[in-house]
Amino acid sequence: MGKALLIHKNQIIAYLFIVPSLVIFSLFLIWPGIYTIYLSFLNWNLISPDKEFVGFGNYVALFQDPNTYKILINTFAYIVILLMLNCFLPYVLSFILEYVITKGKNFYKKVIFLPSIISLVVGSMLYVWILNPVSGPVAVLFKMLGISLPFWSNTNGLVIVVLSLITSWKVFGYNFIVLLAGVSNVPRGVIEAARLDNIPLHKIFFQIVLPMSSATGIYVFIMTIVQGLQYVFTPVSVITQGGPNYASSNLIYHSYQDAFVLYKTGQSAALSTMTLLLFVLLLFLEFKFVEKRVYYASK
Amino acid sequence: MTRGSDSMEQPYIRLNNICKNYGNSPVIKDLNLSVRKGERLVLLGPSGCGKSTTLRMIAGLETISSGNLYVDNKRMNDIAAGKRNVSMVFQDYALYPHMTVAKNISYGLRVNKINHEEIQRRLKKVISILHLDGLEQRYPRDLSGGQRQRVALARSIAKQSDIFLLDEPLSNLDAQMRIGARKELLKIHQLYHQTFIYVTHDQIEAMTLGDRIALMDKGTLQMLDTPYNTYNRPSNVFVAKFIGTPSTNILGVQFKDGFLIFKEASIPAAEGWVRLIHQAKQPDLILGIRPEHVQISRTEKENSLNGTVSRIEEYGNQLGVIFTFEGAEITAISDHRDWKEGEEIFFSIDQKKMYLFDRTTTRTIGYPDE
Amino acid sequence: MPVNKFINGRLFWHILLLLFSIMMLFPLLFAISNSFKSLSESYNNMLSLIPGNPTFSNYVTIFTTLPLFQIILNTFITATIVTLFKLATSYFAAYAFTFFKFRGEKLLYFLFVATIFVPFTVMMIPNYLIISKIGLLNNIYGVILPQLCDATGIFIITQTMKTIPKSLIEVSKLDNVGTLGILRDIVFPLTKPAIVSSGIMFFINSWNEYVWPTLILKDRINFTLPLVLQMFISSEGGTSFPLAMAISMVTMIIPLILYLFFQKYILNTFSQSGIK
Repeated sequence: MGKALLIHKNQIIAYLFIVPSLVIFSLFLIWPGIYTIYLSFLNWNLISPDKEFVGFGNYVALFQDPNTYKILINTFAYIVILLMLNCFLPYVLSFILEYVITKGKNFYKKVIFLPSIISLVVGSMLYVWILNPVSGPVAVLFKMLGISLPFWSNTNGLVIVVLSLITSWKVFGYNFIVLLAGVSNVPRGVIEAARLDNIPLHKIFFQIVLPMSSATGIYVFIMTIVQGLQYVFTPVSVITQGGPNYASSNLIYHSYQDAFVLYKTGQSAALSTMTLLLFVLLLFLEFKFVEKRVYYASK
Repeated sequence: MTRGSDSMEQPYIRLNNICKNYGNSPVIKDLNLSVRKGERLVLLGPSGCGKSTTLRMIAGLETISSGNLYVDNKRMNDIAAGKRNVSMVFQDYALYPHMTVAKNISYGLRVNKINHEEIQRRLKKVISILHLDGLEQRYPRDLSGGQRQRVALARSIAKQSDIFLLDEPLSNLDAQMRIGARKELLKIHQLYHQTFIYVTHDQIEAMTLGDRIALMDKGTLQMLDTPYNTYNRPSNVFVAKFIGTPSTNILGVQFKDGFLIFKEASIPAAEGWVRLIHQAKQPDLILGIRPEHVQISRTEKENSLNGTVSRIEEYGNQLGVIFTFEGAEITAISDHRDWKEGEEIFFSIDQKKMYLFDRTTTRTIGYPDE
Repeated sequence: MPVNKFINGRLFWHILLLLFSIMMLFPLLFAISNSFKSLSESYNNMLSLIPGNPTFSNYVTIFTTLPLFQIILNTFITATIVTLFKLATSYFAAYAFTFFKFRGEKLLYFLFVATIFVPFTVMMIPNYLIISKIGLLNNIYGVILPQLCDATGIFIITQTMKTIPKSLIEVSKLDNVGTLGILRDIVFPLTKPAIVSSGIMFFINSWNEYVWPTLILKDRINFTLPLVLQMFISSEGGTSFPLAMAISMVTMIIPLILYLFFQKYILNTFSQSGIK
């Protein structure tokens, strides 16, 4: 009786501390999530008072729309490029910084992280000018070499590469310092032993560092996909608005466009729901198959 | 006769039928324990025996699943830790890393609105008792292990509470410093006469510090008595085996026609034991004998048995002679140094120093000189 | 491996790293220098990093033609309120997750952290409807409201709090220090680095926030800096290159200053955020 009281009191205090976060999360994250799923079964235009229940109609419409496939392919292309630029490349770089060079580690860390704190709108704007195919500095340089820059923002495929590069400018540094911390947790003795055995650097990286820092690596891998696609939204929105003809749009931008430009609320909600499912599947795969085999340096 | 038992005061801290469960697994099972005012009680036992949990329940840091805790006849179960007027020294010292030594000691006092002069007075006193002079403005990270331990003690003393709980406070010190720290603890007790409850897994610490020892295993109290009795009159097989190194030799024996029979060998039981065995009405027994009470020699004597030396352990001043006897291993301690592995020896057991336990309950059947 | 080859290797990597660093910094230098050039100079000499005739005219222009002070103030108020609330909610939640045992603790923590992986498009329509329903469209408080809590903050501060030995809290409890006292005197000083760096990241992220404000804010006078910037890319001011650089500078300057002052805190705390 009395004991129950004591436990009870502690529980109440704990809940009091959680309640502010819980309320905000419930109101602006959990409930909206559920509501979006609900909206995905309706035909609605965001404004009209009438909402019509259409079952899986929105989903069927999505799968019948050839643009959806285009966007899925784009999304996949973004994922592949972002993984190269924002996961693999910083991984290699962090290995070089930690184990190959001996000086200047802090300097490089500071410089490389710096763009992470700058607005991606600023980044997009700067790159629009820097990469301007007529008068931008890069174009000027290339002109001296006799090469003219393509109009990348109108070129299928290339536009995705350039927008990914712009996004990477911001995201690279953050992923890099996270990976650096993971890589530096690999016991130095292991690397030194490998060095003494004359094992080449690329083998040390792939066969020792990569598996031994995989906990951090997988985290960054997932974050690169999940947040990378959302970061791309800004340059897409600022520079191309998904164009030309959906060539630079991805799942995230397209559901924004459906909702707030084309007022196809139901389809937007269906697309968001599918994106969510995709991310959940990704997380599930991580927990199910990868987490268990991960080497945790701290244990 | 022994320290502590001459105190006629009634129990100050009482644990009545205390149980503690984590989820469905019981950690403490029906614990009954009384502590006298001003006494030094040691809770001793292997890790996971529940001794720390018991201490933490007294402190109010763990809830009590069932049973009652009384201090000075007041039920404490639902009193918050801060209102129990206990101080505690933690194994990791729990010093605030962002406060100086002086602040570490005075922080709790200031929170409890003790006036400034009084705080300064206590601070000065504990600093000098624990030889911390000159370290007042240092941070814990700048102190040695021994100094940190003394700051933790100083902080607890400055609180001047009636109950002083110590949770393995010396286990992070090296062997040399531990001896000094034990002396310090006894000095503090002489000065303040608080009720000490001291948790340790180290029997030497328990023996030297405790007025009484409460030996626990798997959540139950095995024995609560003076260090002397804990060593010499173990209440059960666990106590006999846990206390003392090398560990007490244990043989399952049967009593028949005045003889204790172990496999092919038999020894006549002394008269006092025969009486106790009859009282216990239990012929299936466990015989316990400490290595120092097993006499070995090369010549046969009356009632001596023979075994083969299988291993010799060096203790520096003495040798541990481990020999096989009817398939069992028995350890003896010898001052002689000329034993060889493989040789045949004769041994005898000092029946005045031996223990007999009921084989089903593992409890002692009693002691002949009682 | 021959000694020579090894040293060469190191030099090789340094050159590569330096080139990479310059690439990372170039947009910044490009913006700084061009923001001080006149219109004609900027077009004729976009590449030179030192302006021939440094001029403040671009800054004067943007501050006189746009309600820039109001916009900066909007951005500042938004970022400040968001930061303070996120810190408070994260700190309290982290405290409960670290030092209390309660029913549903693990599930709630998992739920909170899992929201890091929810794409914003999933919340965007309903949140827009909520904000419009309570009449906060075209108002910075409509931007602020859904952002008062942050899963990453809860995660980072919880991770830091978990490094505080439990015995410190217990010893304070035995000394009759109340919950608020423990939060103020013990837990806060020991988690300050994580709180400071999370706070700075909250502030910078909110300062740079683009997607959600574009949905909510309609009139220039209510804009935050990233929105005003966008006008210089699309048709309106898109042609005036040095003005665009000047407005970029105005947007960047606060995050840059914060980073220069607190880089050590930020780098240390965030490098740990991926390690479980």
